[in-house]
Amino acid sequence: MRYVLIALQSIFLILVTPLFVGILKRMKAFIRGYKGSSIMQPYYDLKRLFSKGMVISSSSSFVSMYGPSIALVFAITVTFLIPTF
Amino acid sequence: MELFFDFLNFHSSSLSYFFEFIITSVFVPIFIYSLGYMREYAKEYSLKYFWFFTITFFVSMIMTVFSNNMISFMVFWKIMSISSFFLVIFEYKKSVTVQTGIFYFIMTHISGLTLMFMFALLYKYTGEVYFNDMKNVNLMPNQATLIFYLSIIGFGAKAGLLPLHAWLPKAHPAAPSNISALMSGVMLKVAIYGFILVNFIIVRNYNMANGIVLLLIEVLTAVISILNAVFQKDIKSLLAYASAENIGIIFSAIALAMILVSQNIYQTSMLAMSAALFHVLNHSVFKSLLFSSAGSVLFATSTKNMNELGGLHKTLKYTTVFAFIGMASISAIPPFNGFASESLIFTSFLKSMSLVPNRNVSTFITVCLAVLALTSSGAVYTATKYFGIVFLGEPRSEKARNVHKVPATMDIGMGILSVYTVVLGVFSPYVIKVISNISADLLDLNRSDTVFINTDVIYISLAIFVLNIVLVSISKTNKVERHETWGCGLNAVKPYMQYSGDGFSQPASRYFREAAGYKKHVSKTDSIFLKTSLHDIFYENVYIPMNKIVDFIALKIVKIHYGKIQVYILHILTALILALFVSFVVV
Repeated sequence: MRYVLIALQSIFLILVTPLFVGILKRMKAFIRGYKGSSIMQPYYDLKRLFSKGMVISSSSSFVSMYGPSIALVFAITVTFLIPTF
Repeated sequence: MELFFDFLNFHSSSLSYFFEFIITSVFVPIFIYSLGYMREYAKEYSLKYFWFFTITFFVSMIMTVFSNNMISFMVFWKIMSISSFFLVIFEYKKSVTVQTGIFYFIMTHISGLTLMFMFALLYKYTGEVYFNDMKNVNLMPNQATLIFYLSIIGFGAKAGLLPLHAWLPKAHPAAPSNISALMSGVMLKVAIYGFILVNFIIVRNYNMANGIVLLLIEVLTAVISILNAVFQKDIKSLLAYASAENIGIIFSAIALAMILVSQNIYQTSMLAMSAALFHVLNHSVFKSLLFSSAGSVLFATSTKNMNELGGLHKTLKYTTVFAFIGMASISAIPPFNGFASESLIFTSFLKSMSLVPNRNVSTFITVCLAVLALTSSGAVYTATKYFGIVFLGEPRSEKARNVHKVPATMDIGMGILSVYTVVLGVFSPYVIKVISNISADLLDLNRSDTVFINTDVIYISLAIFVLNIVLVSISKTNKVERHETWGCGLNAVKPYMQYSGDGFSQPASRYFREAAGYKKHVSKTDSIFLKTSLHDIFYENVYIPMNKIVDFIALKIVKIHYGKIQVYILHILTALILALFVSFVVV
């Protein structure tokens, strides 16, 4: 049961983070006096960026191919290590 | 003579089996590696010499960890020293190799001499020769302290502790790479075994002051070695300095265990000892892997200078992957084994910070922890420099462009070591349980209080792996375009526009330049030339002045050489009379 809770909390964290980013951006824009982007905008950005291709230099190696995804993997793994509330 | 052959009654402690396991499991992949590596030398040098001394080296190391009396220990220690000397001077046609070989020979005999002195003192104090009998005799505190300091000098000269580490960065580049891997991976560990044997099994006099001195020496070793490693441009001396740094970390965990046992804090001292032994195992594995990768690079391009290498990820594909695994291990990156043992060492330091009652000692341990964190970051810097400049990018010279093919056995040997790395990292809780049983035996503790880490770590590693595969497969469905690197507006991108080895370590050289003796010489002839030079500060400031003092004294003494035989006979007579006088009258 504990593992199910941990997994649920981590997935919740990962899915909800862009929403928080969107809320903060919109609030900052409101304080500064302009109408900012919508709350869901980070989600649309992520969707667009994930569907783009890569342009890599011909002298780079597997590190440039897999490095960013491994960094993201470590960040996601950290969310699994937070104690459950 | 019977003492020499009594090694058949093995010293059956679990520590001996553990070290024998390390020696054998590292030797097998290096053996496979050597089958291919020696083809480079087959034309000029004799291979039978190499195999004879390698097998002698291996057998003498195993016999050393299994010997149960001090005479056979010393005999096999000496055989190990001498066979490693002959292996270091394998390429005897280069005079630099023979010079560094002789330097190594002198250092290893300093260690042998100190050890013989120490064992003679042990015999005098206990009257026993077998280690099992020596255990039962309690020594007086000042005798035990003398033995402790002699063991630091004796085993430290072999393992590479601070004032006596100068042979490491000279002997490892001179030796062939598989010998460097064996020496650095296994021989230094036999010195650690000897140290633990003398201090934890025979002389169990745990003194906090001794432990603090050892901790200070080790932490200094670790820091100064890694700061030297950052500036090296020879790939093998970079790895040799990194070896000295890891040995410093191992000994500092042992020193912490000694301090904790003297304060009767047993659980955490078992943690520290297990951390040290686990790091011994892991360091053997990944350092042999790194030296083997350096050997492959040397085989393929015949240059050791980092500033001439680069771009090997296209031509030496498997070597790059295995070197990457070695680099990730030494930088303590999670699924590999370096992470497991380093995090265990840091955990033991953290726990002991709050448990030691004496506040000054506790502060000192905290400072040592901070310095160890600095050495960890230095290790990451060094490993990134080694991997990035040697393997990635574009080739910086002709030698790196025209690459010989590497024989398959070398890749197989490195592959086996990488598999060890990954298995020891992912299944580390089970390994730690076995090792903590060994350290519980060592410290005479209850074997059942040995639960440190639960097995969730394995699931986390598997989760990382699965996530990685999922993410990579998602992002790979898009197309990948390859173009030439943007040259900032210039037409042709040249290899010298990349980072060089010295350039990569320039941020460190601003602050740590003096620790490595890194000097820049500017010479103005037609145009201005810049040259950098490196030297080991202990070699320049301690060894060479000692050489000069000895030369000076010898020059004064040489005046008694008259050349006439009558004067020499008078000298012999005088010495004989003095010896008889001293032995009959004084004693």
